[in-house]
Amino acid sequence: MRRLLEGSQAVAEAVRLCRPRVVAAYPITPQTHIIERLAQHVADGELEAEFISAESEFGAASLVQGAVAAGARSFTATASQGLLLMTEVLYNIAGMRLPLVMVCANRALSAPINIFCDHQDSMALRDAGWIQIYVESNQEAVDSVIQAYRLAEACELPVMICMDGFLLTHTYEPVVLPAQSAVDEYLPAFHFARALDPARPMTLGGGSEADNYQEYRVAQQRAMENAETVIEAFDAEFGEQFGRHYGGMLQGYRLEGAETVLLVLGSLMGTVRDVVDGLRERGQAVGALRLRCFRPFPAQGLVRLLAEARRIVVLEKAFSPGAGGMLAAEVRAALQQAGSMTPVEGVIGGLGGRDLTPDVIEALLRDGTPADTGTLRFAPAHREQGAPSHG
Amino acid sequence: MDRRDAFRHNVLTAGHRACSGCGEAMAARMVGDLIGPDAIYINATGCLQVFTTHNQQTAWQVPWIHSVFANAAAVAAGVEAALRGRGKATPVVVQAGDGGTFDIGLQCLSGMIERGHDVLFVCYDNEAYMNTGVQRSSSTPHGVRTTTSPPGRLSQGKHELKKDVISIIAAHHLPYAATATIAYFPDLKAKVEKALGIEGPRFLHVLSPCPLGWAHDSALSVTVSRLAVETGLFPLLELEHGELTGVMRLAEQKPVRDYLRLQGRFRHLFDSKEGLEEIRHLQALADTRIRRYGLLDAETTWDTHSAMHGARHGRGGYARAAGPAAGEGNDGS
Amino acid sequence: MNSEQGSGERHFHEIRFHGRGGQGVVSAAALLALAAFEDGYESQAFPRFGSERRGAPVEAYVRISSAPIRAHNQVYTPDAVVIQDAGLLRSEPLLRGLRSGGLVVLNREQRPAESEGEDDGLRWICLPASRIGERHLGRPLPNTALLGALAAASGWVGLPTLERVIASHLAAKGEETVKANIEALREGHRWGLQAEEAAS
Repeated sequence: MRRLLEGSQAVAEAVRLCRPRVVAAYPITPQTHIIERLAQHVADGELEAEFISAESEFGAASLVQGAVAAGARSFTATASQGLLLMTEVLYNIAGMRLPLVMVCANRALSAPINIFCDHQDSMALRDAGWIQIYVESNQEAVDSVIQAYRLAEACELPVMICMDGFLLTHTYEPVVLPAQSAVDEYLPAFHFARALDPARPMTLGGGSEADNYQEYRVAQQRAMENAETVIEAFDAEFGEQFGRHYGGMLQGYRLEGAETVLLVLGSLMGTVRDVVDGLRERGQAVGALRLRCFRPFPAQGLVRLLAEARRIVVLEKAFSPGAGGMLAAEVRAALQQAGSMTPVEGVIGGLGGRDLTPDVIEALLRDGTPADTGTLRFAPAHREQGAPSHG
Repeated sequence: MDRRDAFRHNVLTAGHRACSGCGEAMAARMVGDLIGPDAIYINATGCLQVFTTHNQQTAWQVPWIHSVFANAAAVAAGVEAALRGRGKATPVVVQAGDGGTFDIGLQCLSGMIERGHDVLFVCYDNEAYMNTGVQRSSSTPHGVRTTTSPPGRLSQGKHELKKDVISIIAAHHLPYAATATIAYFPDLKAKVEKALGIEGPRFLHVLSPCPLGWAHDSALSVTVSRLAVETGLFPLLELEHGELTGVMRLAEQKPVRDYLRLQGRFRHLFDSKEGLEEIRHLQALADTRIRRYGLLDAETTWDTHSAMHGARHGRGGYARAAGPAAGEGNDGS
Repeated sequence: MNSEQGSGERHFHEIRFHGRGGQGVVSAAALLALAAFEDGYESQAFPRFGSERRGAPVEAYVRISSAPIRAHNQVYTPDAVVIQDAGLLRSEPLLRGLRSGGLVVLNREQRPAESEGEDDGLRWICLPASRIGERHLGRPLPNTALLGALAAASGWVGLPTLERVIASHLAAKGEETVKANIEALREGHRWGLQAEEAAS
């Protein structure tokens, strides 16, 4: 049944349907409604789980690490500063190959402090060894959480579902929630072979030296490479069972005959679809490509889908000061590796929740030239958002 | 405007965005004006930080820094270290909520105290993570409704007791630690002034009612704060080097129900058998605290009646003549 | 933005709500979106605010459409603006982007003197929504009365649907609260109808 739900509420329902046994979290805007909903479910006996209010995000990450290590399917959610505070533990979880699912409600980083959406937080964790999936809509958030548990547990890799803060978490929009029985069918029970258990004692997180450390990391890399096929397969299976799928790692929009292609992550794709439709109506051969999966990086798929494009524009909501956009850099590298000469223009925008409106996006597509590809460009503000003071 | 003219200068000035009736805003105004503008203020993330520095504006007329949630005590320790040996003793003051003190901030706070930094740490305790929408902290009393300790079929609200942070801090044997609240301004004033005269780590725990999160009438913040003390739930104490050296005696013990009844965060306790049992627990808790600290028998010049009517002259415009004028309905700001 | 797309009649409305924290602005937007959804439309509602703070200015946006809504941008060219706190009119450009012929639903007994007489091409619906809220709910919560007026003046959602949605969305607050909100809604609706009649 299709219902109008707030994104956070929908995600909490999805988590509940996955039957986690431990939920540990620390509140941070804009993730709060997710964990509040889960707390209420537990208080009402609708979710049989331990709900733990951690003393900090560092604590929350540590709690779920312990819980998964002991064999319990677990969940946490955070954003921004909280994600950064968890960083040490998140690398640790990935290094230990623990299957954990987390939702990151994408939000800007301090200083200055800003509670609104951009991708600086999850981008800062792109090297941690977590699978990163960026969702476009609340429906995709629901479906991806469910896929994520299966993915994490099959690959023994932690999965971060990145969901735009406020834009998705606090937005009411139509969502279909799957039935419990259907989720149970798609998502088998969690059995962790390396769980901490006196019957089969194992040491997790031991020491390593130069003669073997690299091999651990290589194994992680192989697991990530292998995950590419698994992500595609599980999304396709989800599509067969539930009638909805998202293209696996990449989702294109009107790429057929597109001379110019705009690449984005997350909910921005919704606006981009409208812009592409508008430009197509005016006879311009424009298309769009959303990276659903940023880690592992879908290099092959990208190269294939961008083969016909004459101009590629990457619009991203994060960048590395002193360098440039991470997404643009990786897209460029993937294309160059494959021998493509198509120039990639990088544009940074939407930082700190600044709205990327159709007119601004259109102007970017209209005004750029190949000569601009070497310069770091920032998207102009929509005329209303350029004004100081009241936000 | 001469900022040293305490009668005309506020450390925390008007125009900030606190909710009406905010106990933390009142407390911060009081404490700030007692400390004065010649100090450096370090603020943890939380209500006070957010409502005073919204979007390129600031209500602070003093040097002020906000880093992240957990580290205010550590940042303050760094400021203090930088000022050492410079000759002038500029007070270094931390302002944090219960989150930045009891939970995420506890590690840095303990470190700062243990190393003996000359820092005054003030905790404005509104008993939950209010800024993010009323989620429970370890400072939230048991039985309280918050969004992460909601009452439900299986729950009566927060299960755990309020963390006894003053005891944890006092166990560091620091020179001075005290509890205070907005309803007893002369007492708060005496404690701030005493703390300012001591060197080393000092800790003030100021109970600050929150009309939004505690769900009480915004005109009742001072009344609610007074009842927290008069019931014995929030004893007013002073501890020096780990020893109890000061206690505000309760002129009379009020039943906890009088306190609970005013606040929506306890309302669900009145609706069920299990809830009423929790109220009995809260009363027992209050009784235990009264016994533990000798709140009914302490030999002291301050008690909950004289502290409201007592005159105290000195800096600031809050001196009040003895008599029935002080008391109910006055919010002291 | 979307309103020129496709052939044929396209039902597409954007509404912007303004108010202060504690006045139920976000609830109002959610209720409107829920009602439109119940009526068979695609809808979307979301807020823009800072942290929890009673009294701080809040905006919320609603889109109602016959086609799926994909974008999550703020509303810049609303067809209607609902103002829950008339005091904000003085300090903020609340009517920015409001389309010609658009609706202003204002929580105030009368249109403010400063704007009276301007032929701005807008339709003003004014009602003492806080007083209505006070009478039915015991506190000056203006949101449901304003929703009723909006529904009457715009015709974008039906009154019975709004009543159903209030009943289910506010169910946890108890039967009395639901009833009281419905009464406020209906009274606001009557004001909206009167204003429409007076204008025509």
